[in-house]
Amino acid sequence: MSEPTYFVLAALLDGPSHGYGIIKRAEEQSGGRVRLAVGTLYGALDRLAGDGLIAVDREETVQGRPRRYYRLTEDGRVAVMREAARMEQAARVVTGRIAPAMRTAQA
Amino acid sequence: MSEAFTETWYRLFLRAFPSRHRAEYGTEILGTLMNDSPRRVPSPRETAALVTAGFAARARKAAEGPAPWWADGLHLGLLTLALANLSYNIADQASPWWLATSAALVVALLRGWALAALPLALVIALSTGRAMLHMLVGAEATGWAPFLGPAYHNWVSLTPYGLLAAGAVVLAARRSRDLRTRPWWWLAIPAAAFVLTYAPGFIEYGETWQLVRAGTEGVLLLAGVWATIVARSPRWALAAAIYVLPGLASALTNPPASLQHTAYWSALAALLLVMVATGWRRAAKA
Repeated sequence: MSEPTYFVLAALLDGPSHGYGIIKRAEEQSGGRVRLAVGTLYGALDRLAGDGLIAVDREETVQGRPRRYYRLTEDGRVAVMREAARMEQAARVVTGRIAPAMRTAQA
Repeated sequence: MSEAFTETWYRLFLRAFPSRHRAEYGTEILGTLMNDSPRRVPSPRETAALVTAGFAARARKAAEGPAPWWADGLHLGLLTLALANLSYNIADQASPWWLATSAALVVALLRGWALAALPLALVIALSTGRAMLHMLVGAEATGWAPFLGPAYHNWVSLTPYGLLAAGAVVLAARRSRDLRTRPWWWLAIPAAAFVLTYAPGFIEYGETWQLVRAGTEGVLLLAGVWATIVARSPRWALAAAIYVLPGLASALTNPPASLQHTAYWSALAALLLVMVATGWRRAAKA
C-alpha cells in the first residue's frame, strides 16, 4: 500500500469525508508530508472504490456542484489496520534496537 | 485572469481522464478545485496532477480491457508498424492507390477490425516483398506495378512487413471481436508526415524528418515505460518490441555510419529493455 493511499484510508477512520476534507486530513495526519493534488486524490478514490475499500456515504450540493462524502468499508478498515500493524512491526525492528543502545550510551 | 478562465483551464486538462472517470468524478473534481481552494490563476501543481492521474487512469483502463494482454500488445505493435508504413509512403509520395491501401490498414487497426486488417496487411507484405518473391519463385506481377508501393531487395528490410502480416493472421485467427478501438489522435503521426513532406524547403528524410521521428518514438516509448509501471502489464513492452526489433535487426546487419545514428538506435534499444524489465518485474509482483 502506497503512503498516499494509506493516509487517504486513515483520513476516513474517524468518519465520512469529502474530497477536500480528505486532502486536508491526510496533510495534517502525515505532518505535511502527504499533499495530495485533487486529480491524484480522485484517481486513488476511484481505485479504492473499485477494490471495495471505500464507498460513497452521501451526496450534497455546494455552490451548485455535487460533493460526495466517502466512508471506509469493512474491508477498507481491515486493510488500513493491517497496514498499520505491518508498519508498527517493521518500526519495532529498529526502535527495539535503538532504545537500549541509547540508554546504554546515556548511562 | 478570472475564475471562469481557471475553470475552463482545469476542464481542458480533465480530458486526460477516460470518459467514464470524467462522467463519475469530473464535476466533483472541478468543485473541489474551484470551491474548496478558490484561485484566480490555475495551479501548475494541480494541472500536472490532472494530466498524470488522467493518463494513469487511461493506462489502467487499457490494461483492464477484454482482450488478453498479448493480443492487445500485438494489436498496438501492428498499429505502430502500419502508421510508420503510411508515414513513409506519404514521404515517398507513393501512388494514391498505395496510400489508400496503407491508410485503410491504419483505419482497420484503429477500429480494431482484425478481419478487415488481414487482407490489407497481406497485400502490403506481398507487395513490399515482391522483388524477393520474384527471386524465389520466378513469377512477377508486372501489370500491378502502378498500383503498388516500394519493393525491398533484402530480407532484413522486409521484417516489419512480415511481422505485420504474421500479426494480422494471428489477430484474425482469434475470431474474437474484443480488440479495442483506439483514439483517432494516432493519425497525428501521418498528418505530421504529410506536413513535413509538403512543407516548403523539405528535404526528403532530412534532419527535420529524423528529429521528428526520433522525438515521436522517444515520447511514445517513455509513455510506454510509464504505462507499464502504472498498470503492471507487459502489453506495451510487446508492442514496443514489435516496432523496435525489426529496426534494430536492420541496424545490426548494416551498422550505422554516424555516431548520431548509433546513439539513436542505442537509445531505442535501452528504452525497450527498460520497458521489458519493468513489465516483467511488475507482472511478477502483481
